[in-house]
Amino acid sequence: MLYIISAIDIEARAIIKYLNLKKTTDRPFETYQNEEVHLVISGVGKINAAGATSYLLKDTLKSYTHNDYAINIGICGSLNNKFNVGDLVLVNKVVDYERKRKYYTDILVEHNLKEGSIQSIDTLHSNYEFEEDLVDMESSAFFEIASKFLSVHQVYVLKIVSDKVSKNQPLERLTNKYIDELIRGKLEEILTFTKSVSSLLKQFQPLLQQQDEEIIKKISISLKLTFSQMKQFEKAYAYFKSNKKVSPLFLKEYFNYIPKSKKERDAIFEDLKTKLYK
Amino acid sequence: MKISKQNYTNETFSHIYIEKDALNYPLTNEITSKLNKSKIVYIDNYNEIFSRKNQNPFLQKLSPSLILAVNRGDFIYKGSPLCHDFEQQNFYYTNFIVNCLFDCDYCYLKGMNFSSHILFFVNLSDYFHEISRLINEIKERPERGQGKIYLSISYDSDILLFEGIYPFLKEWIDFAEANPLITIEIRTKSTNYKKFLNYSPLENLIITWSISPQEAIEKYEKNTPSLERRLLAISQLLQKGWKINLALDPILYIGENWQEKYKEFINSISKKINLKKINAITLGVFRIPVDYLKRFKKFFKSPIAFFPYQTTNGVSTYPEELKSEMIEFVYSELEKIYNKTNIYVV
Ligand code: SF4
Repeated sequence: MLYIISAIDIEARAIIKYLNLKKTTDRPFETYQNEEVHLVISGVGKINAAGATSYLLKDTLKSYTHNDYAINIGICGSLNNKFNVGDLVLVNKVVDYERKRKYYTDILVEHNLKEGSIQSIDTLHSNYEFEEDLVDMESSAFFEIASKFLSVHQVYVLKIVSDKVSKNQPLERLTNKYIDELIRGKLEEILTFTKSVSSLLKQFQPLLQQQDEEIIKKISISLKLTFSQMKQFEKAYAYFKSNKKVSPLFLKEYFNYIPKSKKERDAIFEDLKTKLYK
Repeated sequence: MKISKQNYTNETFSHIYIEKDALNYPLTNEITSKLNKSKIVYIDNYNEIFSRKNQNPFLQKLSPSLILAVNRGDFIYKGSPLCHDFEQQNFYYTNFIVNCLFDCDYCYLKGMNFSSHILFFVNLSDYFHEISRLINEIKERPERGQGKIYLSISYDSDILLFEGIYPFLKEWIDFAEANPLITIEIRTKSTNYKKFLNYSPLENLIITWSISPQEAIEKYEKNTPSLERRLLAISQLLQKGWKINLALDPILYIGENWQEKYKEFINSISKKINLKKINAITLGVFRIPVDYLKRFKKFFKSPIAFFPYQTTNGVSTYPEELKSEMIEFVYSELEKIYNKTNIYVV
């Protein structure tokens, strides 16, 4: 599942439309989704971003697939001449400007995007130092929270440069139309990137999947295995699957078998283990 | 050095993370100019990348990044009891490179480190400084061993893989030559031996080739050269007079007919190289700290991770009976063709 966090409605509008996402909730955050994508509009600033990220990713912890990934998509200012207005940048370093914390995504996937660093600040009015390439108000909070749910290769920040920031110059007001066009112009590139990430993630599936856990549980219950036997059973099951590269589906025979005594149970259990370690 | 990739994973070293302090070392420049297509990201401390808990070392193997850092901690460590010290009291190891581009299922680095990215320490001169200090200390205290040091320098990596971008070999050879009280050991599975031909063999520099039956190489030592190629590299350097050890370590349980396979393997070694010229052979079965094994189980899918090992004093290995059987069998086969006083069991 792809999870998208954007700060304001207009940053997400083009994506919602293109992917045909349906609105699902209004509170505590506005969310949209289809079968493969969940999107949340967090509101501006780090606290909103942290809350929305947490809200959006809560179900990923239950997942067996490890196909989940989260992207913060939005606009940002540029602090130097490395990037121009309209550039789409994959962020490789996120700095929380006030807390001096640094986060790095793990870019294992091949892509043609530009890369740069970003600093997230609390208020646009303060007289901050220009330490990184880009500036926004959400990505550090997004990254910090998202990487509590997911591994660092599953967390990305994609920003489109909307304006050049210069010291002591008032910020321009950007119109909705302008932002929407910026995002629309980069939709293809964004989606090519998400496809690559999704292909990479499919490479890593934990050995024991939901189906395996269910088999282990069912047999442990029907054979009335002790806790320690169940743990041994799990290990033997994992050995079989790692060795033979398939699940031991022959175990299904035991689903409804109820042993008549502890002795019989122990004998069946030993027999099962021998088969799994073969 | 290129590892074949799926088309959606990045090249090896697509990214180089550089500690700001590492910029003061000429080696950093040398490395980055050789890898001039890589994207550079500046960091304050290598642990910001290397020691993060929420990484996936299994996937990182598909596209490892490089980290250039300054070692500010310890440079040399006392050897672990899990390794052999050749009956010398002063067995040490050092690691100026951490992690490897090979991908052995049993590699303890995968259990020890949170990341599979490759870490280079660029302050090699500090290592030499520290080792010289140790040599002097031991010289003054002859009661500690024979006043000699045995130092393994490729403990946490297969360093020969990197010679092309981190030219360390000349410096270590020069150091060994100038310091006869130290014996330096380089462990490898690589076939990157040609660099040695530029130098004269040294009495106190040993290259240890780790070898396994071809079937084990194919199954459990991904990306490594075949047995045949390793034996070829060994015979080339033996001819030139280099001191070479063989490590049949780890001996792995490769199915019920493991005896046959190990027998065949030992025969093929004796056919391909002149065993008489081999300095020593070490033997040891797979063994690993139990905590590392736990991390194997979390990330890796190899049967090596899930075998029902026995754990004693925090170290997991084959059950005692199987272990003895394996060691005894391999030992007895080797004994037939090689002087047993030079066989060491770990
Ligand atoms: S060659 Fe050595 S260091 Fe490299 S992966 Fe294999 S066991 Fe580990």
